[in-house]
Amino acid sequence: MKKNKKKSKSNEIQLKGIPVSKGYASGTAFVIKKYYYNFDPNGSTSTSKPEEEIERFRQAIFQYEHEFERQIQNIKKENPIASDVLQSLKLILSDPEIEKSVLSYINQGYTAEFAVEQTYKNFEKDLLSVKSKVIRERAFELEQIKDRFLEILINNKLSIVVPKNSIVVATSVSADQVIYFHENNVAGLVTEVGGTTTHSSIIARSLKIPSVIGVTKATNLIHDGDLVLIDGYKGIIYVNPERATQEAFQKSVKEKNLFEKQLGELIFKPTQTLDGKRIELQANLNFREELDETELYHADGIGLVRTEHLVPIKDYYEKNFSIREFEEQQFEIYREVAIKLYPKNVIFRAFDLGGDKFPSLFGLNEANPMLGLRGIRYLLSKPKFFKAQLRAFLKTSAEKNVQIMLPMITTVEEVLESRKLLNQCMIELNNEGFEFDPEIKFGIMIETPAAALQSGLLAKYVDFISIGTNDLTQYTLVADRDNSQVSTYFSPFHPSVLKLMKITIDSAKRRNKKVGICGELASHPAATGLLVALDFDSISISIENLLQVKKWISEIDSNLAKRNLSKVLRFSTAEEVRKFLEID
Amino acid sequence: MLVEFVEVVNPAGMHTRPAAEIVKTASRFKSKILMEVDGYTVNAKSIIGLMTLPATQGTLVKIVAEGEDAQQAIQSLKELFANGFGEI
Repeated sequence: MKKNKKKSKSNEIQLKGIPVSKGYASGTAFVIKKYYYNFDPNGSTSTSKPEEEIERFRQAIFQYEHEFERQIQNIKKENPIASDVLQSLKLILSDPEIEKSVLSYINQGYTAEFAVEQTYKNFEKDLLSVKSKVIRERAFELEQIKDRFLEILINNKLSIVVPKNSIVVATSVSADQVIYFHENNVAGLVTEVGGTTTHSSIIARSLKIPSVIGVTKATNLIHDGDLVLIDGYKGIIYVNPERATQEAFQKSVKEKNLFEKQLGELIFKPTQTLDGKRIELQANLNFREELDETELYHADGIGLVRTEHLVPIKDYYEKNFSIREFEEQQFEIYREVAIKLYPKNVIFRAFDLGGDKFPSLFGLNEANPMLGLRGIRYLLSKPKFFKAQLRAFLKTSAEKNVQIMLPMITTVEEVLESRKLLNQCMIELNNEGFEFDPEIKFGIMIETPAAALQSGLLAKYVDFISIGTNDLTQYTLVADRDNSQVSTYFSPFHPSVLKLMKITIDSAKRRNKKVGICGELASHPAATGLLVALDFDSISISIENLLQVKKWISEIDSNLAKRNLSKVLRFSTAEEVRKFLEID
Repeated sequence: MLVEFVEVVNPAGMHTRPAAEIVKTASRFKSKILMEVDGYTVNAKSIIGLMTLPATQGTLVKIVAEGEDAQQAIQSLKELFANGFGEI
């Protein structure tokens, strides 16, 4: 019987939006359409006296403040952040400038409704003209407050009775509505508009209500009573799903539950050794698909964004993008990352091109690309191209959680030259009126013996240092890690590599600069102890290994690791190190 | 009329929460209090006005207070700014 179902017409539709609060949810749709009111100025002149309209306006404020207060009291204990947000929003109701404007409209003979609508609209415009994106998103909230205000005012309180376990589908929802939904055990939220950093999204996240925003026409396409599944990881909504879709969905839910159970405890714990030494454990980011996991695993930020993977550079060369279009394309991509991670830090590494990375694309024809125009050398040879990226980084940095890192440094001049370009970009952006972080942290990768040996001088000119073990190993030992004939030579445990790492860390510490490591060396259990003992401030690792490394670190005794390190540093061969650390 | 310049010291600059703190403080006083950045002036008792004030870290904000308790008002606001709105 099951198999003959093919012909029955499927009502299933899939909608896509922006996931703002993770999780899976399923339930019956409860659709809230926006309340409409005729705001034609001609039809909005009041028949009652201005004093009466003013009194209605004040009554509405009183009632709305009361609603806010009730919610603040309800949520204070379990969620102080949400209660803080509501406290701030509550001040808008009695804002003297808003009141002044409303009274002026009423005194011109308009209804309280029209006065509120018009006043809030004007202030919304003011907020939208502000440069800070965070403030601009507040404009949405202003609109939501206005909507509720009008509902109260017109005595059409639309006192929504939301059935338990339903999925609320709305044009937009306000921060206080989200809390109200939570109190009424709503399973999930789907909205047509919103922003990832609006308070309603923040509150949905903190209350763990799976939510997807930006679902175009959701209130038209979804009807009351429809069965709705929300994938709050990917931002997909399934409406009236077929049996197969439901089964697949249930399977995902089960898998996620099992996984979270196993690693759940670890996720929310800080990264520290058995004896309490804290280490920042960051994720590497290659593709935007990894962003969700980075958030899910509670990484301490991103220690390395490989921008050459994240940005489709091919477009620039093959689709003849202008340099400004290329900058804009990058900005969009970087901004998504920075917003998602906020307030955690994101270290964007400038394009590491050349070498083995798409050499044909750049018309490079080198006998020895790995010893050729790669990394920072390529960037400095194309200053316009490099500046487009630096400008995109800066434009992303307004919220101050963005840092810049240069790849493949071999000389001090490269750092100074890059700084100069960065300063030029700052001056340009300043003149163009863009907001950015003028004290953006600027660091370098130490991946060559030349840079490691001069790390003391280099550290003077940068804010942080990150050691890239893969390239450092291959350039120190002159062994291509992809060449199986020399694979026995390629060992990050070779004493020369370890010494270069030690020199670099000591130089950074002497200058009080943070030093991190990114490279697959960190994903080896025996190496973890060495890295802890070497006193790295941070370790950045591919996301799939993050929780595993966290577990290894939690099992390390840092004093024992220190003693092991001093032994290891006296060994003569990689083989001795490997034997001592019991690496096969 | 009293005038005072204060610096925004918290890294996040002006946003909703600091604006709310300023309103709460300013509203305790009877004086008329204005804040100005680069010629753009807002009412310090208006959260919506303050949110539009372009005050990032390092910005100098001019406070103008007029009234019987202007002295105390400026003093309290000065402390609030110096503490980075409790964010540092």
